[in-house]
Amino acid sequence: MHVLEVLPPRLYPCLNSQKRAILRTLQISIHPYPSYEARKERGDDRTGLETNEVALQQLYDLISGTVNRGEGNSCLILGPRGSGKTRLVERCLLNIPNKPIILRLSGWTQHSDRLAMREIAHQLNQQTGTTIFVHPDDVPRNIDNDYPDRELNPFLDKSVSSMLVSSASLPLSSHLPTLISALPTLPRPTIVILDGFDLFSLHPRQSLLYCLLDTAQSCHSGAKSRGLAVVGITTRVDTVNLLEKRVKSRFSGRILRTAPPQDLEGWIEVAKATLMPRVLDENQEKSYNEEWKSLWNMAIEKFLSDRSVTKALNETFSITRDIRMLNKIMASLALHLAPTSPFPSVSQIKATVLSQRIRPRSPFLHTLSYPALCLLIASVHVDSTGHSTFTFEMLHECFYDQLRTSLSAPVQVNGGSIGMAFEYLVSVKLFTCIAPSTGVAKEFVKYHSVVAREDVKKAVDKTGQINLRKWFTKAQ
Amino acid sequence: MEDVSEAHYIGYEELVTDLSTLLTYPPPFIYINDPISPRTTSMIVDSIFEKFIEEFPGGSSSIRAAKVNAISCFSARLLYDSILNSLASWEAQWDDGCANWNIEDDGPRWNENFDGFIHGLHALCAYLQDEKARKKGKGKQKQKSTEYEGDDVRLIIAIERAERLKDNLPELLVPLTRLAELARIDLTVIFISDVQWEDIRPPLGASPDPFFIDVLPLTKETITNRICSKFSYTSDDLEPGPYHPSLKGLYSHFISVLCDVCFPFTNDPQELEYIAAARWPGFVQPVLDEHRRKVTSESENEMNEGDAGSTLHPPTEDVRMRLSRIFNSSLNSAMEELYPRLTNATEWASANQPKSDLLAKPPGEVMKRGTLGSSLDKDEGMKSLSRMSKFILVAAFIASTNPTKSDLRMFGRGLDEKKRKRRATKATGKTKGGPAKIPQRLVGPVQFPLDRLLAILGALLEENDVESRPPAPPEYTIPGEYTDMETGRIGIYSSIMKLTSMRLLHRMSHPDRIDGPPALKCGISYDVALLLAKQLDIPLNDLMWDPI
Amino acid sequence: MTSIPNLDDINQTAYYIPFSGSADDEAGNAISLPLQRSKNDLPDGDGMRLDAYMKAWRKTLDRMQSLIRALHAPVVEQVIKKVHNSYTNVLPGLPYPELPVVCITNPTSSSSFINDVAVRLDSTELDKGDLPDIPFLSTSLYPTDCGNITSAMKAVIGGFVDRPELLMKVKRKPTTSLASHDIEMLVAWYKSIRETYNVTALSQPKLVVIMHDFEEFDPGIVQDLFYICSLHVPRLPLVFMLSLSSPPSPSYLQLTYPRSTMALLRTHKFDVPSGIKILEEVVLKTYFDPEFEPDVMIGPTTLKHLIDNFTRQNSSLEASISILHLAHLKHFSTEPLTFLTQSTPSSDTLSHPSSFHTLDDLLTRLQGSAQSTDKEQGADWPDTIPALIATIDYARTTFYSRIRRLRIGSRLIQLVQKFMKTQGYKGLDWDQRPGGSSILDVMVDILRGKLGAGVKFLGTMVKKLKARQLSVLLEEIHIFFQTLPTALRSNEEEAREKIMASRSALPEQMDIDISAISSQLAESIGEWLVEYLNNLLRPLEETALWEVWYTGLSPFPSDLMNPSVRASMLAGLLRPYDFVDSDDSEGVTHSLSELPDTSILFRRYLDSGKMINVYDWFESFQLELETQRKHLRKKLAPEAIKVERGSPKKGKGKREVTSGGDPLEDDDGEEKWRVEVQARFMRALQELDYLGFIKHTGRKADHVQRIVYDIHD
Repeated sequence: MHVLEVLPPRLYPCLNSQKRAILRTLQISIHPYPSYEARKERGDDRTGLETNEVALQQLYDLISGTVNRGEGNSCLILGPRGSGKTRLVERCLLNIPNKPIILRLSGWTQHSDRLAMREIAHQLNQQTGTTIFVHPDDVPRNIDNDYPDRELNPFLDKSVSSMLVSSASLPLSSHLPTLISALPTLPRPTIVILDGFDLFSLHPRQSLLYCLLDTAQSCHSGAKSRGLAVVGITTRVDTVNLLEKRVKSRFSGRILRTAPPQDLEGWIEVAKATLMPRVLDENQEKSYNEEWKSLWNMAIEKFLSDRSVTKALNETFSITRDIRMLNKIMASLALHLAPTSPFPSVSQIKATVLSQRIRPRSPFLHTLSYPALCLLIASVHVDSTGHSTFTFEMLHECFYDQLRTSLSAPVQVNGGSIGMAFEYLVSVKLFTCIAPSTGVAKEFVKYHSVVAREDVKKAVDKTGQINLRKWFTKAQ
Repeated sequence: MEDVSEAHYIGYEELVTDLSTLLTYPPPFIYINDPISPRTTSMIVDSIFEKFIEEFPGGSSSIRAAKVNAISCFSARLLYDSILNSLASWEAQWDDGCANWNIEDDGPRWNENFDGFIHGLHALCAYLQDEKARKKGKGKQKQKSTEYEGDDVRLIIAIERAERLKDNLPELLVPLTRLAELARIDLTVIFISDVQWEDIRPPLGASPDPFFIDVLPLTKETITNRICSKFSYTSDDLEPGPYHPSLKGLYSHFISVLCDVCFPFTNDPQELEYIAAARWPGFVQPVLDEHRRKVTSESENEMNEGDAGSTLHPPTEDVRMRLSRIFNSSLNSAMEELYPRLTNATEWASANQPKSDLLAKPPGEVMKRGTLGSSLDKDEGMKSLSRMSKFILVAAFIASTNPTKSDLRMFGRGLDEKKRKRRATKATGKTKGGPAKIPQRLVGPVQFPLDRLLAILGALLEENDVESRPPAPPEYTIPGEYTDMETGRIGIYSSIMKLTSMRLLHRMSHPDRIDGPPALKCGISYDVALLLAKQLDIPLNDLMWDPI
Repeated sequence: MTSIPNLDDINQTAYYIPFSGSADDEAGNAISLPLQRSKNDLPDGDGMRLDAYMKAWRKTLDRMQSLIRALHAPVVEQVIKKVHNSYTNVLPGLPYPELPVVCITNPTSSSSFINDVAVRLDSTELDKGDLPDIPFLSTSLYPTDCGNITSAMKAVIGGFVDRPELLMKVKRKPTTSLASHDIEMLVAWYKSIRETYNVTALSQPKLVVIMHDFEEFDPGIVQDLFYICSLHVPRLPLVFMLSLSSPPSPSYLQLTYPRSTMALLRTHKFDVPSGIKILEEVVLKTYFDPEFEPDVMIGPTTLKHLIDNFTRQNSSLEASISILHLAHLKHFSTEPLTFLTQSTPSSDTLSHPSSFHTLDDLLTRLQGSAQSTDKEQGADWPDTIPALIATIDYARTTFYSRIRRLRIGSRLIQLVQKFMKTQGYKGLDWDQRPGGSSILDVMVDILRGKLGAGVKFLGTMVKKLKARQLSVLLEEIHIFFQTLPTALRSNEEEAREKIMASRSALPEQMDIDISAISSQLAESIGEWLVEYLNNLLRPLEETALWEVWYTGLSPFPSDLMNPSVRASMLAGLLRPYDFVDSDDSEGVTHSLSELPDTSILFRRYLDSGKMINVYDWFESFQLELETQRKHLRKKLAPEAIKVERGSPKKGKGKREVTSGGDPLEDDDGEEKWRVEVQARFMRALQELDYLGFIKHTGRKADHVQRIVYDIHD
């Protein structure tokens, strides 16, 4: 069977829309929110990973318990990066009936409990129109006259109300217990999602966690208090040990684990699903004629069945199981499709893996300017004399000795250019400064070269300048 | 205008295609690494944004891009303000007190902390959707486009010189890389930097790995035709300038020669462009002179009217040969002076302007190189210093270079014999075990207490200054007493302070520390010290512990 | 009183704000005058001298400052011009717009130049409408403003924006509008400037940022500053002006800033004239220029010191000026007769009995000078006051005319020397002097009257001149006389006639060399020139009362300008009374016990070995105090009864030790005394410690280490 090498022009639009489709799929699967239906209507729940399904079920039970029966719950979702923790929560929240108040906190932004509280207050104001702990002078005014066409788009009211709460309307940190303990009294049950749960445990005295868990524990079902669920998300395995005793004792200890796809097949499935997306918007449909479809599917089948391709995927899989890595590889595969090479090829996936997964430390060494290369070699020389750190003057001296001894430098380097090369190497952090350079003249700042000796060797060989190589080999 | 942008794209086509396809459905975090000339890359990213936005279905109301600079946004607040303002394409007006973008005046502030920033982004999204909805209200087939695009608005935030975030705003690095998932809106963050992601990646894998786009360094050929294609006709009607269209051929030749000379030293297109800009006017000037003479001579003898002669024709082959023979030598010097910016292009161009009507002269004579900027003539340099300051500097250099223990050997005098003890035959070269000792002048100056400086200064003065100074008053009888007196004077201290303020000396100890003498450090290089020593006829090399 | 202190000048660390009361009311505030009275002063002689001094110095200072300004003017012009068209006719084809930077190297590190520039930049006063004529808006940036990048940006932006006279400040809500260190704010401001004054792109005012003492800025911050600003050119026509004091090469910028920063800038370098030439220019035009006559002429010693200080110590004009200033002060404060400098007081002041001291001082001096040069004012001895006044006035005029002729002479001799040089002869060996050749050294010789040999030599050279050269020389001399101010020219009539005569005597046709005529003509001219020059250059000391207008050979008090810290500190400790009361107690030597505590302790310190046992030290100190106390007892014995006892005041010196020494002591008195001694010991010890004489090495118990050795006094 033959795969045509260059694409007939009539099929260009197909190729482009194919690329766009792939990217779209990737983006969607990255974006937590719509991914669920996307996957649903793709029907590839087969790749939807068993452990996660279990965890989903458990989480669903827990939250619905809170929502329906007003329980106070707390749990921790634990799993390696890219194993779909966030997606899990989102999917769960999607099909929770009579939507609760959802407070989303992240340890990355709320560095302190105070910030966290402000955010809580803000989100409360946003979801329940009532403003809690709001300064009397800026209660939300009537929004209708400001935005008469509000009913045009359902997004507006939320955002408008979000805009109307100003930074002045924020509680003092002494209010923390009252604020938190007020949560169950809200009209609707509350679900608090703490992303980066371990970071919250670094806050002084873990007071936020304490209040949350305490409230969650102490709100009994059946009482007229609505439920409260605290869902922590983290990748750190020892997170529970980070909790202080009083906090830990109030944590239910329920830990749901998520896991990335377990086996290579799963990955390849994902890859295939990405490369042959079902979802296409309609103007792609137009250009998406059968001829192209057959060509494409044939090519993909061939591609995925290729041994080196599976090998490349396997390597990646055995290094990291982060699904996002696979996505990136797929994306850059799709990017490099061109009319000249319309279908993903083995060489492409190799290059892709190189550019996205195994980043070479300094890819451009051989393209460095001549003085820069000289400096690198000089640094190797200095290193071989037993000095791991060097100043510019040392390299310069070394370089000039070489210049004096062998009068065979192709271009004589004088004037500033070598100093400039040094600055360049520093600026791209091939030479990293080690000593604090205050009050030290530029040429005497101590540096350390991050380039490994063999990398220099490779680079020198690549440039194929004989005398450079000679000089390099002198360093033993 | 179009072709200009094309000219800008030359050499960066891959970046353009990749980025613009990627932006249709972007990953949340992209990292563009251009180790050679990030400035060019960011310019190109700008133009990609423009083109992409105007071609994007739904137009600018449904996709907005902002590019901010991590150096000019040195504080979190500046970062938030400038991102939001430029996303909303909002220009602050002086008359309304430079207010930031907001839904309504006295709205909430977005620049207080990261949460506020995210709220700002939400507000902006809502605002854009609202505006878009209004647009669609006017447009006919409303629901169609709604189901086409979905109602979301896409934001693109590019941050150039992103490596500086690590120093300036380390606490923002992680949230920015996770911005999409934190804000939960359709949004992409692009970092543009000349260092690798590995160098600024926060620890513990706190931020997800980006989608990498590497800009490969250009080859010589690419750069050549990139610069050539930028050749644009600056229109002045009365006189054909150096960028006259019919000189394009010559220009491309010129550029290729220039790249041959300079490419081994730098492969930054902008630098080569800079050098070209400095050299080209001088290079074509003979041709223009020739042309002008021709025109004037024709205008003198009226027999052939019509502007046949007055149009500038591309120069002939041998003219080109002559020009390159004349000017090629100067290319290297241009490189040597312009690339380190010893002088700037404008001054260099005027300094190395060829004599007028060069082509009219017999081909034997070549132009002489113009003089450099004043930055190169060394011996003029230190003229302005007073004699004592020169002594102080030399003493400081010695104090910074020689080990303290050696002072007695170098300067100490026995009571009886006048001559200095010779320095011991010091063991140079490798000592067994341990790395070879590196001479101090390569490692850099060490700091020394003020007293040591004064002591060495006294020795130097006693050795080399007795003749030229005004005779000592009679009351000083003991040898060296007068010098001792002199080195104790206020003038010495004040000139030391002055030299420190000139950064010829560096003060290492904290200024308001009063116990113990202040520690200083020499700020001049070896050859400057040598120069000064020559002016004072001090035998510097004899006074150095390990002479060069 | 030196000049109106410019309080904005941050380079000044201290200002002398003179006593503002009227100087010449009675002796109540005579102390407050900087000049101290001497016994043969007029009743208010010090006041008069102060006035005379102020007049004289003001005159000289104005002259010198105007000269300096004239020296700076051309460079200032260039700088202004460069700034002005820093955004016009930019080289085409540059990859990106550069940030124009004017880099002014000013090695003498005087702020005067940059201030001149700043004045030129901000000269135009701003009101609506005429903004298009304003080429610049400038602001100053000082290292202290730039602790970090935020404050630096705030300083730059605020420097422009906070100008209500240009643009009304709009009230802004600090939180929800641009930060005051956001350059966008400057952009917005400039935009609205353009709109309000609708200026064209060409005439838009440049925004000039003057960075004073550039070396003291933190390079890291300045790098960012430049980067940020360079992102906004040419939308914001910013121009940076750096004033450096470090020598022009190796350039500070190149050494300190990385290429990445330099590539953003378009630096133009300007050097402010400096070096000995400047000093020569100023001094020659002030003291050796026929056009100008200062009230007081400086003597060779002062001039010599001026040169030495400039070349060796501190080559800045400010220092030189203050040296001259000090010379004036000394002249007027030590010489009581200087109240005669500009004018002679009326006869009744002189005839007032209180001024007899002054009179006979005057007369004795006149006598002295009369013996030497009686031929001048003949035999008429001033026996009446008016006659005396007349004599004084005559002396003044003669001195001034003499010094005028001296100036002419110096100019003439320079002229001849220059002529010889141009003719290719070596002339006088002015360049081969040891220790730096400066024309000022020649002037020193002239004032010392040591140039006779040189004059004779020039004469002989003139005699050897050929006819053609001779005519050229005569021509030049003639022109020189023509250019003289008329008053002086009239005095030199016969010399000019001589020149005329000899010019006419020269044969018209040079080519046929009538050697006989020309040579003997040269002969005569040579003779005449020598005689004439010697006449011109006669030493000033010959005139009567010269010491009023001429500092002569009086040594310059260099220790006032440039004292030796260590020496003066030791002297202060060893001979405290020399500093307390200067005049009377010269010969008197004080016994150790009379010295203040610190001095006592210090003496003992000098006696001790390397390590000092503090307790021994204390005991020796106590011993001294005991003897001191005995003396005191003797002194107080008569009124000892009346001395009320009170707790002894702490303090140093013997005056404070009043009531401690009471003859009839009881124990608590003794107790007090012991406490007092200890306290005084501690205090003295602390002072020595603070002065850095003691090193606390924990090596030996209650010992301190001595630092200063072998003081020979």
